[in-house]
Amino acid sequence: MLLGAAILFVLVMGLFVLTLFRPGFGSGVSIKGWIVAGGLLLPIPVLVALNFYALFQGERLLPGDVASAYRIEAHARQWQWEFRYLDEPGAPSTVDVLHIPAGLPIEVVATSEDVIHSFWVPRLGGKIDATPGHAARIRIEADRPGIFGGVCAEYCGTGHSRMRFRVEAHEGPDFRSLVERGFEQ
Amino acid sequence: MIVLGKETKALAMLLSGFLLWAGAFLLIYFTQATGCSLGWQEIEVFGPLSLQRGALIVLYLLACGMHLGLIYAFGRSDTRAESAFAHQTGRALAFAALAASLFCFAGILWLTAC
Amino acid sequence: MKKAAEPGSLTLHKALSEVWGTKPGLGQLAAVNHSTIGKRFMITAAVFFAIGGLLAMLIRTQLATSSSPFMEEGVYAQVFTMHGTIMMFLFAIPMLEGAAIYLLPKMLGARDLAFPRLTAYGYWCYLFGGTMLLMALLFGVAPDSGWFMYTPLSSSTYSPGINADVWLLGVTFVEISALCAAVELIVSILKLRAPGMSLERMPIFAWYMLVVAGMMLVGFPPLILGSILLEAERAFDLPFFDPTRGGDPLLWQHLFWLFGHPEVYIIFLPAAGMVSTFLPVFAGRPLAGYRAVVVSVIAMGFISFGLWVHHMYTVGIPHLALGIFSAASALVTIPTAIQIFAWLATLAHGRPRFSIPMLYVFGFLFVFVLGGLTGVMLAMVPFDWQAHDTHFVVAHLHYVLVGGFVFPLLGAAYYWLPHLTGRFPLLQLSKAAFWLIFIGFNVTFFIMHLTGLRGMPRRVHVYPQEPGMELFNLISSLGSFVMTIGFALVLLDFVLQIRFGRLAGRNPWKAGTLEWAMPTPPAPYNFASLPKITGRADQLDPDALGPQLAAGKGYLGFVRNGQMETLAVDAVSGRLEQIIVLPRSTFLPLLTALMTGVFFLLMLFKLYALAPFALIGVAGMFLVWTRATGARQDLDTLDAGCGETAPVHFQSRGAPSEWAMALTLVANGTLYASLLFGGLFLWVSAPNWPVAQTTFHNDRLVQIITLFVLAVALFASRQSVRTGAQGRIGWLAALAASHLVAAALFGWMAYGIVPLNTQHALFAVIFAVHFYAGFHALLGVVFALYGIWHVLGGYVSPMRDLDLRIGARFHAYAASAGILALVFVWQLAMLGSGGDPA
Repeated sequence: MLLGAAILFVLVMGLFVLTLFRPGFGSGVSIKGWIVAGGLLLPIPVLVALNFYALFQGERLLPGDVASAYRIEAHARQWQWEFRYLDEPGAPSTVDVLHIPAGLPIEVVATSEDVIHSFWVPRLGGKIDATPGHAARIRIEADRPGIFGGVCAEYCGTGHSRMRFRVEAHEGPDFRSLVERGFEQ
Repeated sequence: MIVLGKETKALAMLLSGFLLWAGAFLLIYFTQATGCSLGWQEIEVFGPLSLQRGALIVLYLLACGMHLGLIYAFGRSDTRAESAFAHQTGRALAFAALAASLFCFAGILWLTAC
Repeated sequence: MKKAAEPGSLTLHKALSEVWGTKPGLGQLAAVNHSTIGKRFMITAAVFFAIGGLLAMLIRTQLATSSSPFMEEGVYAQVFTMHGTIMMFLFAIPMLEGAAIYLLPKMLGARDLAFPRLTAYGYWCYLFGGTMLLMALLFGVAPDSGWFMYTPLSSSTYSPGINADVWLLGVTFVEISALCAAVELIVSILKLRAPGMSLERMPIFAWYMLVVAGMMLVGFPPLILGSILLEAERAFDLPFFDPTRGGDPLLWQHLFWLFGHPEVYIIFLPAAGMVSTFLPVFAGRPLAGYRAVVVSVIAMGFISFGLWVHHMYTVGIPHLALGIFSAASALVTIPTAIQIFAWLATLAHGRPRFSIPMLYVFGFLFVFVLGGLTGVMLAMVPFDWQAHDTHFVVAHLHYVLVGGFVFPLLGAAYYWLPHLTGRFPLLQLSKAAFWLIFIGFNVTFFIMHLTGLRGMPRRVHVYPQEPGMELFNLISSLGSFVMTIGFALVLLDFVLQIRFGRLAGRNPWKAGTLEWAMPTPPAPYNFASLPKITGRADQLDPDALGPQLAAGKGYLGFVRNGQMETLAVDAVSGRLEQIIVLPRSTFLPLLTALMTGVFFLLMLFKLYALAPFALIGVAGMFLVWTRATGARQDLDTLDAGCGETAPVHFQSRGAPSEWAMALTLVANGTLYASLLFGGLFLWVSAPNWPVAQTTFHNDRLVQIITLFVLAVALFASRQSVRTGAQGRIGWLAALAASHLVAAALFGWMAYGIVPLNTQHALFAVIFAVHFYAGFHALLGVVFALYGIWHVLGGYVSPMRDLDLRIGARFHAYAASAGILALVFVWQLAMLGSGGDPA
């Protein structure tokens, strides 16, 4: 995508500079030719390909009906995140730290009790808004164990900048025992 | 009410194509939201085809049909004499609007509905 | 007026200046002339640009280091909210309005816009609304919930102060001027052209502005509605957006972006129109692909309304719906590409020369194309989920808006400044200024793509102290200071040009458009006589045409009865149709805007009981406006010069004011439709629907009576313009009576629901719909009484029934809106209470 954008950019700017400073450049191509080639033939294939590719990709990222997804509720309030482990009845919730098993798709359900926040872990996937009265879902996944930073991406008042959290991804067995200890480390 | 004078007719020719697109856009978006809210995606009407997708596809076809109808109307329009410019420009816009509808609403056929 | 007594250029100039000029001193406050008001718009907008730029500098200073103590978070919130608000509402929109107000009549060959007093009223509304926002900033109570004002953050629970009210009321006040400009520009472009200028001969800038004004007409009402609803929630606790009581924060997002996305194109298109106007001049040939450009501008105007949800990809909307918006977002690139390649083709087929405006076109293309490419990336849903609400988007939007508006605007400023001042700039300073802005801009914003992709969210005032992050932000801040120096140099350059620049003379760029067929700086009447157009209006010869027109050899080359006159044509063929008699300069626009300001201040300081009186005052003042025109006896057709005659506008079918009423109703109808769709949206999307226990009952009897009364009004509105002199008064009286009864009944129904209003959004919506219908019925009473008074005063005859026809349009609208209200409330009550209609 980046390369394609760079090529298009250089093409347009190059043509502009050439037509401006090399009198006669491009006058061999008719006006209709310029407009049809540049306005239709150039962008349409690119856009059609890109658009449908993106929609297929987006479809893959959607939280589907796969039973294997591990469900977490990210409940936001000014200005902290409370994570509830929906598949672990009895497990306590954690604040500003989210523990997940690595290598497993995680379905995050974002909710809020006051204003709009947005759940985002830049290295694990896209973001999803936590809107009061709604429960929007997104799928994230950590390939390997590790610690990842997360932020609130939607402006939510004066504490917005500091509404950060941490995601800790653990190997399956480690995660299990952590859950059983009630997330006491 | 507003009488369609010569002037409004010319304006209507210029705007008709994309007004149709805008109308289809609103209707399809609204149907999609309403259908999801009423659980139409759960109701199967024709094999695996849900009521939700069925309704949207009907609207899609309807919109394309109306676009074609508009283009046909331009083909036999007698207003050419009044303003050739408005007629030709409107006709080009009618084609563009058909392409816009075909492209914009194509996702109806396969994307996750709700 | 006979050729024998040909007055000569100078005598004619004196006579016209006498009539068209604005008086000095206090008289300046009464100015209605489009050149004067246009300049005021542009200068005020430039001042706001400087203020908004200053706020941006504060932001960059804060972000230069990772945890700067420069501003605390509350102040920072006010600063970034006001930066966005000022740049969008107080700089970009008014600037383009000002440019269009100044340029269009001159390009179209008219002496002024269709409604000069409305121009002035719009300016004062803009100035007063903008001042309200600035005052709040000075007193430290500026809006602080972001320029997008997402609720519930902007609700009274989470923003209890006056800050959010300042935004909602101040911005709505300013938007009045945008709507006035929209109506005025559309009517002026369609009707007030020089004879012979048919649709296909219009200068390309007029096409651009016609589309832009149309977009403003339907783009602003959703936001105005949203602001009214949010203010109603804050002031009276009507829970339109409160999810605990059947409202939905997403309703605000839809209404806001339904305006907010077209807004970007409303800003871009005028700038593109200016490039399409002056680039051909430097290419030395007319614009290539005129029709292709017209087609793509119209297509763009529409498609830009189908993109709004791409600001909302992350709220959890189904992928199918996102797919539609994503495709539309990609689609909008094509008309943009067509325009860019039309410009390239113009250059390729011309003999280009290089000058400062072309340098800015280079900057425009460079920056805007990059912004467009990141825009296509952002339109792709998976990418957006990653980049949304990060500095990547900050970079993108500045590339699009600065690239798509500020660069071409500066180019246009260098092109048209000789027209405003009659002078040329001192070239070398201009080039240095350009390169400082260009380099400073790219340093500042290109790097934000990177910080954004690395996960820096928007609107933070501190960020983690990572080495790369801090360096990038510091470079970004340094770049912004370079850019500021560039802008300061441009200002200096302009001041020097105005004071010391060398005289430009007529048509210095050898352009082919009409605005150069006059001495510069222009006289208040623009053209001593109006031209007859025989070719496309960007291929004329101003050098030959100018002296002819100055000598009075065109249309209306005289002063008649001390009146300000210009011409109107058939919108399609450009055939001479009417002689427009314009109102003289007056203090009424200023006074009316002041009264409007009183209304907004009363609302702001929560003196709700007094506010309706201010509104009555505004309505009363508008009635006084109508006294300036009209006649008590039928006039003969008037001499238009060039051996042609035409009727005066108030004896013509399709007078400008008739168009204006139709367009106002389009805007009004858009607002109403937004309200109705908003109600349905809540039913579909909001939590806590349907209402658990319904204590609301449709009162069938009252509804049926109201329906009957409205049907009478609808019928009477048709009859009032169809019958002869005797019948009119009777039908108008019937209209007044039926509107009055309808208003009372709607008031009764609205009153009945007041106790439930705060319980659930369903009731709040029903109340709002009743209120809307009742309010319009009341206005209908005013229109009908005005009509009666007009008939009795002798202002109406079969030839002079313009005011009645305008009134009839309003009556028909009000009655139809009322009938729709009844049907809608009946349906929504049924849906909202879970299917039980009783």
